[in-house]
Amino acid sequence: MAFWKKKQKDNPQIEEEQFLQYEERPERPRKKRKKANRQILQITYIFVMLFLALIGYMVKFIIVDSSGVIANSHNKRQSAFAEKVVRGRIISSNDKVLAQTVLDSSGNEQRDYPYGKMFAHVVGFDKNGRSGLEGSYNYQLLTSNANLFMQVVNLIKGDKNNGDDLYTTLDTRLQKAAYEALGDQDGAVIAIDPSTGKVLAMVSKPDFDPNYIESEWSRLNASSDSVLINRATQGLYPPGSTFKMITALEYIRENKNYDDFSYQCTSSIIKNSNKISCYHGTAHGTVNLKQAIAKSCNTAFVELGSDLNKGNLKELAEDLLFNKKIPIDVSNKKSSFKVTKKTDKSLMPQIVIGQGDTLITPLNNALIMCAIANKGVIMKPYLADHIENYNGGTIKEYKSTEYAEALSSDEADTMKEMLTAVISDGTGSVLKTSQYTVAGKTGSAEYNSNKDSHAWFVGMSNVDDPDLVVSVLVEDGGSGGQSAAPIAKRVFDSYYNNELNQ
Amino acid sequence: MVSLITIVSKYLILILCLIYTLSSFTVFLGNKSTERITDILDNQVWYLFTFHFVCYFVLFIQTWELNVLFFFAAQIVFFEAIMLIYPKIYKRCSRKMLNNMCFLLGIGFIMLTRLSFDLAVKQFIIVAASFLITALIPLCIEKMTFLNKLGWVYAMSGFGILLVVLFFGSNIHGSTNWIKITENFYFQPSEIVKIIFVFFVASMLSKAKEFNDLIKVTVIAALYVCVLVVEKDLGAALLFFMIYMMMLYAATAKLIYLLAGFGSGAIASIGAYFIFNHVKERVMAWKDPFAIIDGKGYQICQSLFAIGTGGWFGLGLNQGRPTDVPIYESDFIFSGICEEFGVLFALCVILICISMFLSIMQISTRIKGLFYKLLCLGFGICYIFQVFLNVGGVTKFIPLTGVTLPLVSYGGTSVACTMLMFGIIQGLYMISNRKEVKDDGVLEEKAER
Repeated sequence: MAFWKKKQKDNPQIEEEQFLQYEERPERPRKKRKKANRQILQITYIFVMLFLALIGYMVKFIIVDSSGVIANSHNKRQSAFAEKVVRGRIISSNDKVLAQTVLDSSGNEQRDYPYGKMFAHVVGFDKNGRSGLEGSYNYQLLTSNANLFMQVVNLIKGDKNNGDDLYTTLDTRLQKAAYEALGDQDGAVIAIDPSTGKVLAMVSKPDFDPNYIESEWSRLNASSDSVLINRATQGLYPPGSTFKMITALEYIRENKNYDDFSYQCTSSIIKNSNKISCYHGTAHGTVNLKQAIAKSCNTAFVELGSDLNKGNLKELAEDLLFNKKIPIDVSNKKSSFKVTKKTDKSLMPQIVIGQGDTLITPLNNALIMCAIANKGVIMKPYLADHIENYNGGTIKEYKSTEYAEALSSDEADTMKEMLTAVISDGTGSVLKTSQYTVAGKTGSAEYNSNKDSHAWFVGMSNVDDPDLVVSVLVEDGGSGGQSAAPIAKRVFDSYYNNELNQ
Repeated sequence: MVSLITIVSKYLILILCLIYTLSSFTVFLGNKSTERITDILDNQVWYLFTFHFVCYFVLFIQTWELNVLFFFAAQIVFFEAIMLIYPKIYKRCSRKMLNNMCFLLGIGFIMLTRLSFDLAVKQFIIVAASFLITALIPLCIEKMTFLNKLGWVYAMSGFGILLVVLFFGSNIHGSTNWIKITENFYFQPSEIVKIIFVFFVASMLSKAKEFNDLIKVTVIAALYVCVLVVEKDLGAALLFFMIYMMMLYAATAKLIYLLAGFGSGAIASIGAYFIFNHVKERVMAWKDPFAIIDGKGYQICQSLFAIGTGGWFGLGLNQGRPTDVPIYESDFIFSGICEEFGVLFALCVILICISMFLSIMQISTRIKGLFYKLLCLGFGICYIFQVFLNVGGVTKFIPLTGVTLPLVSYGGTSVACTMLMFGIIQGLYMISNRKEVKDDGVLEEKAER
């Protein structure tokens, strides 16, 4: 202490010395020193701003981004939650339980899927790495927002809390209709409400029973027909004639007088040293654009499409979600459209009728139809409607949002009108009914050199104010009009018979 | 019952931290009487001890390890020494900086105890030893008036140390910035070079008379940064660059230097991005870590999982999995704090760091003499920019640079050098405090603001 005091007495001297040092220099007057203070204050402000930005970012991360981030399957914390929370239920839009946790005879928790195979791919499973909604909403299902009093009581008793329930947009009646209509064929069916983006049904076959996923795991994984793949979102197929919608749209964009188009179909055409024939060698006679779509006339499309601007065609295809990762809650693949400005023109005749190396998912095809149905706007497809806690209170609501403005409203309406001819006067006549109107496109996409083909149908019902878009793919189904369109009809029928449009 | 206590304590800890943070800013506001400020600072000590007690109570009832209690007692003695005895000896020291320092050290000890008891004890011993040594620093600073004349000595010694590391250093976590002393004792010389660097720049710039002098300092500073880039110590390179730019701006008051500096810095970073693979990897991992989650993006993804899962209120002490994150004890300790104490608490930690920075900047504006001003500014930037690089890195606000969170992260050299730095700042504060009483000019300045 004494030592310190002595130092203090010495200090004035030192201070004076220092003071002198600075006073001696003419270039460093008092004013300069004050200036430095101003810079120091400025620097202080800069750093405080930097930190405010950082804090703002962190707040945004927690409010907006974190729920998506922590749901990642690499986040091992989720399995720790299972020790404290009973996994919540997954429920359909018509209040049926699609997945729940029950206790088996020996008191162990068991995940139960009352609908068995019907929702296998979309609802997914909670074991072996998780898939479907079970995987993407794992975090929410394992989070309990049950009322605080209950949580405290459980905590004291050492009981688990009840996780939140996921309410989906899926409808069991529509799913059942689609599932049964597809029967024992392989393929996929998706039904989407084009005005909201709600996915009402999503079926993929071949299927499996998620109740026995663990015991069947090795068999399913070894199977050659990729049972575990959700064909609706991950299956990549040549679009076949359904691609003519895109070719026609591009033709309309490039030719103001598209109504004047006329072509004499003699069942085959040689274009850019490629010979293309119509399906089953049919000669369609003189067709305009609308008739060419309705009858799915290959030769007319090769004629009108082969010399379209390749760059613009690619742009249109990408606006319609080719080569894009579609934001949906279940795993999915990108459709691929490989045309560039440099693509050789000898490849174009195949490409414009949906053959060649173009590949599309049934989901993507449904969304193209959604764009046409919804005045050019694609709503973000979604499967989760809202999250409820154990006591029935809504925790989070997922709102319908616009995803892409792919077409102009006029283009969508023109296309819609042409697609009604497919039903009234073309390949989709099986969908003619007095109950509702339909517009759509069939497709028979050849996938090998033996001319074997997958059958496609994509369409909308209630054309004036579309209620539902359905996309059907039947693997090796042959003609789209004959094997895919009837499946779509059963889905539409179920929709209107159950008065889901009310 | 234990889990109930853990959950209740989580909110109690948050409230204590919020009150403390608030008080660490209210001391700056308005014209408060000395008694009022002393009251606030005394209260801070109580908040801190309560916070510290609650955390260790929770840790104890979860493990029933007696060692935890002994360790807690040792820390109490240590904190009392800092917060109560040190100000008795150095009557003019900055108590608000001491309190903030103890709060940050405390958070570090608690988190380390929870992560690894052995590391926590090791860290505590280093902190206690460095404190005993740095307690003498303020005396030296006041006495050694020749410190501003040693520009070239600092320049050469700092650069020499860096070169030694460059040629004899060991590579840990991808940077060649460690010197191996024994099998499990490593020393990170770039930490001490930071302090030497600030001394070097401050003394050279405070004496610079003409443009040529500025060029000399700039070239030497640029050499430092280059060596650090070659050592792959990106964080330190950025830090040195930032310290230099800010000190240059304060010394010359020429905005054009600042703009030119950041311009060439930007060009150099773009060059580094294309030349050095490790720079590119860091940037890729920042842009989309989830695309390369099994590779270079792993660390940052794990960190984001921890922060996101913790949410606003955290999972509670010992309730999360902070050890899933690589280097959880040092570079990523902030993610662990977010996970278990919650993001609100973590934001308070950031605010306490800012409060600390404001104290240092306040000293810098009040102290007389360009050398001292620049010294203080340099240390302030050195401190706050490290916090920014660390927190920004682990939250994916900026690319990861491998910088520790000063006073909180585990790391002997880092914490010892930070303590040394704060010792010097305390010394500067005592000088400025002494002057403030006598010099009217400073009071005038205060009124201006």
